[in-house]
Amino acid sequence: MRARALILAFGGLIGCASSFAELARDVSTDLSGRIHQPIDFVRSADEQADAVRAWLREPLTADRAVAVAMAQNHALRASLEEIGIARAELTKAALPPNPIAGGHARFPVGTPDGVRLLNSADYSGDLSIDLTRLLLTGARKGAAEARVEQAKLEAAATASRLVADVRAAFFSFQGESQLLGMHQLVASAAQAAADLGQRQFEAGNLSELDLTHERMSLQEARVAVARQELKLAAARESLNHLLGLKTSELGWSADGRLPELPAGEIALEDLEPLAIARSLDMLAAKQEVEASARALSLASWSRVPAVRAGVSAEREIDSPTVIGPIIELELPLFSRNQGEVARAEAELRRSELRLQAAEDRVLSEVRAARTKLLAARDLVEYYRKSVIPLRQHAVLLAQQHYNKMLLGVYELLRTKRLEVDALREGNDALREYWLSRVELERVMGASIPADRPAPSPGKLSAPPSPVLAPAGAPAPAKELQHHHHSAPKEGN
Amino acid sequence: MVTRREIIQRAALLAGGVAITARERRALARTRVESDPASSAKPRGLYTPVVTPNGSTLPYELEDGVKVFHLIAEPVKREFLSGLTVNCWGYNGQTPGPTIEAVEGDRVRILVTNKLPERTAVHWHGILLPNGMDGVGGLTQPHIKPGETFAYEFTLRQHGTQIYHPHSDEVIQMALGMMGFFIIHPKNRERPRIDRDFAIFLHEWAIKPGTATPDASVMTDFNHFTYNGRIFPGTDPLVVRRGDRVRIRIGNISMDSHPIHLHGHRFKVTGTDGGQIPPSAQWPETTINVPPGSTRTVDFIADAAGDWPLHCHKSHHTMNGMEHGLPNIIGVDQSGVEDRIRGMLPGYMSMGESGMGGMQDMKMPGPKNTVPMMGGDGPFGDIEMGGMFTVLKVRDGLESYDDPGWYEHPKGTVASSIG
Repeated sequence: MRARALILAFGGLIGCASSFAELARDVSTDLSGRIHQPIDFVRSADEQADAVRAWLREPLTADRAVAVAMAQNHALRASLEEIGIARAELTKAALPPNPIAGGHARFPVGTPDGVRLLNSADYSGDLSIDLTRLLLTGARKGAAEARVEQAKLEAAATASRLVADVRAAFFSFQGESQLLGMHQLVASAAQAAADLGQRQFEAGNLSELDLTHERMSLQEARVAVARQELKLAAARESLNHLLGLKTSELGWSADGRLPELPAGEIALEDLEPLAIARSLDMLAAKQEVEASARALSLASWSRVPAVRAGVSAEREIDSPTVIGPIIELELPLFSRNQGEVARAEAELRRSELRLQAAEDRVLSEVRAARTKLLAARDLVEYYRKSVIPLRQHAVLLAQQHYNKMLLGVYELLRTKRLEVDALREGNDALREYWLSRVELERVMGASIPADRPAPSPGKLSAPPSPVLAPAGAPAPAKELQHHHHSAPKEGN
Repeated sequence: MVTRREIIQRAALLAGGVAITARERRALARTRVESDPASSAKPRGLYTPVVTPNGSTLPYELEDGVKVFHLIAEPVKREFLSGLTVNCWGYNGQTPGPTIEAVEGDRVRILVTNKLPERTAVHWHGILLPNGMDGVGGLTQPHIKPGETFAYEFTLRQHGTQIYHPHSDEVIQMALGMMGFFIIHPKNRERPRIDRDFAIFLHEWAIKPGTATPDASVMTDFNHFTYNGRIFPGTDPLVVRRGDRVRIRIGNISMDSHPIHLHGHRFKVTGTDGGQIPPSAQWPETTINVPPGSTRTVDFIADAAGDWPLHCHKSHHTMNGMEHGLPNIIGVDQSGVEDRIRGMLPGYMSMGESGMGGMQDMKMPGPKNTVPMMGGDGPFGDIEMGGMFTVLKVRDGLESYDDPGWYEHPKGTVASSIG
């Protein structure tokens, strides 16, 4: 241990610490590996601005939104600077201690002669260096390096959190957008019923009371649309904030439909080692163990009594100059730094135990998040395979009854409304799925390498039954003014 | 009092032969049991056998001079019209059950086997008989349990149009179609002679669209109306020669009266289930109202050639499966609204703006086991009728009473457009 420290110490005197750019690149590489997306923190400001402009020109996807956030989110960039600060600390820690020089000159009082002044002066001078501190340079540097690693880890953690937040916000946005489409469909049906009621009223076939009921339903539907538009605007703004967008960049568009369920889910056995390796909680706990070990090393070295060694020269009046070594030594009669060492040892044990606890916790969180994910998947599948087809079948049967004048048109529209309700609930379930997935990724500290879903037309938003044609979707009933957001593409 | 003629006839029967006069032989040539080719009813020359359109006559065996009939009460699947088959209860595989035909003075024995899932009893509506043969379960006899066969036996001492129906869990059993004619001819030949004799049993049913079983709990809101268990255009026409004296007997044990109207003729109401109406008391009608629990008999000369509707005059009763409570769309301009609704429901077509006339040709698919509300392809277009509707076809020079096709109108006697 001590030999190593000596080598480190001299190595530290000769070698240089990594530059900030290299450290930032490390973080970029690490993060890219985690989220399977190229991230570059080392770009120049111009390159970055160009990249962001290119991304915002196309409709946003979850991946692109993450890329924009990585480039522009100022809180993230602030945390990256922490690395620079730690690195500065490292530079300081790597430097050997400055030698200390001292001296004095004393002249006899009342001697008029200049030359005799010099000859009869009393001089002394010494130069010393704190050896202990010199010897501990390596250990100090080690500790400072650990802190740089810590800073890198924290930056990675901040970035990972941001990635998860952005993805969650993006899926929320898509979910709200799809929901708006559903509400608009309901409003459309209510509009048709109210229009027919109005025509019936004008022909004398419907009482004003009955007409009023249809109009009341229409108003309900319009209120629902307005509320949903508000929710969508809030979701959009949330994304604007996370992406650090400037006012000129707020006009982005995105596919308003959630991606389809991926084909399968990664097995729990495959998730666990990944979580242990990648989880930021785990890495932080490992880092703490490493830091504690180095702190213990430093504390051990601090048992060494303080030693100062150097050279001293003196000349007294009418004496020759004398020169010789000086040494100052702290006598460890009372304090031998036992407390510091014991404390460091305890802290090391504690951090090892905390690592264990972290592993337990991470595995448990992974299991819980995965269970939630699978349950969400089941619900989506149930809606798609059972609930929605049955509602569509009801519409088909209702149409058959209507064809033979066995069912009225209002009843037919009500049956259609039940189908739209199921589509809406199915969309909600799909959004729950994607948000659960983001939660799992957050716990894992990494994207889950299952099949990436292709952004195919969301089956839950476009009704696939032959009764309902994809073309000819009614124009949405817009009651409120929209300010500067572009209309997201709605599901039919 | 037994007549001499009867003694001879009965003796002849016992001897294994039938002695018939020349007059009877001629009459025999003219009478056939068209309604049931397999019937073993022996034409006795005393009466013109009744035709039960879309139905049959119950054959009998003679045992020691007693006419023995066998009724089997059982569940029956009846096709009201092609595309509409109904889960009914009836007799001998049909609803209404086969027509029992006998002569005043006959001793009849009717065996009733119960193959229903519940007990039953058969009441002989309007027939004078010993109280214990009246057929009221619990009151005049034990109920006939499933699997059992009971024997009813009595001597007929009246003539007229009677009916038989259950008197055990009647609401269910009658709603599901258990009924039939019991026609008793007078012991002496009727004068003037009846050339064509038809029996039509009316009934109403509540069959929800897409289902096949009548809802017996329905009291007033029926949606299918039948002549002998059929609906137009599935009802057989009544084919007669011009000049025939025609008799139509109508029975009804449904929940409503039915005013049955004949075109082109006037008839006299000549009988009820209480008996013959004396000629001086017979009154003229074109529409005879048949209340629940009764029969009405009308006679007329078919003196006008052509295709003449015979239908219930309650217009809803000539519609099939019409639903109620739908939005009233008559006269409502649906332009624009139709497109908007079609945006959500591609198969949607607005209907009803100018009435229901298009329903006969509505090609869009409907629920299972339902038929168009109205139908009938006539020689001049859609007849747009259903339910209690048939056609009396009066023709000159008929070789047989098979369906002669549509009437060929003499020139200049058809209403036509003049601009």
